[in-house]
Amino acid sequence: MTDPTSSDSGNPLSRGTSRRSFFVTTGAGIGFLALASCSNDTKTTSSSGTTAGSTAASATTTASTQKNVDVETAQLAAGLEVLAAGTSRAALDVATAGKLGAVPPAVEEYVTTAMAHHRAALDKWNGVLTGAGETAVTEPDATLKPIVDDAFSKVTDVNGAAALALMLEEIAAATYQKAVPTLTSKDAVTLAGSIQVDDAQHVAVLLFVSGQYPVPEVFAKTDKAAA
Amino acid sequence: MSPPLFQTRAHSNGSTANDVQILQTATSLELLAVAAYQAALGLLFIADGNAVVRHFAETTMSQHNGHADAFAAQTKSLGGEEQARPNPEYVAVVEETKPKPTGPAEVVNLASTLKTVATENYPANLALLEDRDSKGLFASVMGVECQHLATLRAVGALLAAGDAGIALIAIPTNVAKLPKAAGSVAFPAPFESTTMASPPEEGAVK
Repeated sequence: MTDPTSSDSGNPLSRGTSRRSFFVTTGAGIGFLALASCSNDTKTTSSSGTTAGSTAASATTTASTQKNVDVETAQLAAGLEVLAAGTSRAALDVATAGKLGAVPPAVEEYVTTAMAHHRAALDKWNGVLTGAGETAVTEPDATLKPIVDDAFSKVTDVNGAAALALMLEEIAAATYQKAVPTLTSKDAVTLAGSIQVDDAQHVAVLLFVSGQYPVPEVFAKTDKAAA
Repeated sequence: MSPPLFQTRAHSNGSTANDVQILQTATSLELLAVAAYQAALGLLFIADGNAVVRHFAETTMSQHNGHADAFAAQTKSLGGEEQARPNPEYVAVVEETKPKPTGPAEVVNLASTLKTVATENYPANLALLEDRDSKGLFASVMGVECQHLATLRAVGALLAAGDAGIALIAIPTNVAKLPKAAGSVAFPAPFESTTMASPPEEGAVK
């Protein structure tokens, strides 16, 4: 069976779509570039305007921590998107091979659409990472990969595939939701929030397809967030 | 002397005031939604119509009430005044539309429009908030509001498909019979637009 979590280097959407257009349309790269450049800035200033000694060290630590929060979130998010896109690809492959039985048209359409969305999200995060001088993420989240691999190996039908997809989308939506209040760049907040919306909508449709009410909670929770 | 590059979290009075406005506007949109669903549930073809549509209207109205209460409480925690009125920009739209719907499709279309405003409001204004607890609340509510919109988009598409589509508005549904578009109509783009978002001051207490 195809490895569901391998990186998808052949993804046409992951090549060049969109770093430039993302910068143009949202300016998200600017915030991250600022973060990167600030991390190399040795001149520091305290909140009271005093420069020197422990205060400067404290400000440097703060700057470094804040830089790490946004970059680390982007890296985590990108790893999740690699995982989600790769799992979707693998699900389509086994479905096409007839290993899941009859696949309803709506389910095939869902998987195709969700895969494209995750690839687009991956492009965004890698765009801001490379724009900030960081390395693009091409490997799936290492913590979740073995869990998803194990679950995928047990999938034998469409219902099982939907349950796995639901698990992944719930994790992704919760991860973005948990990250949003911690992010320091407004562009990062908007991007993470926008992807949270999309992933939560995937969850709603998967719940409906699974025979459950699509909006079961009054407030979305973060207990399934990846760390 | 260089300004502190990451000195953006400190709370000035201005940022708190902006947060309060954003929360008041969010409250106003929730109250608008409650009013819209109350009106919808008064329509016979909703009250006595498809059980899932009715259940959705009842449940969603209740969830909006919960969101409004949470936003009001958060507004007060920041020292602001609770917004008790529905959004002034859109309340007229709801009032004008009330007598017009002749079937569930029109109600769902209106609800989708209002929900699009609400859903797009969250990622747009989330980035403008300074208070971390308010951001957390926004993200939590956003995760539910967008699911309402996804459901409305899907239900709207099924209603538009006629009797065959209406029969599929059921829980559980017949997945094998769902049209192909049911797999994508609920989320037409990978990133939700923010063009219909309300500006922070739109529903602020005047």
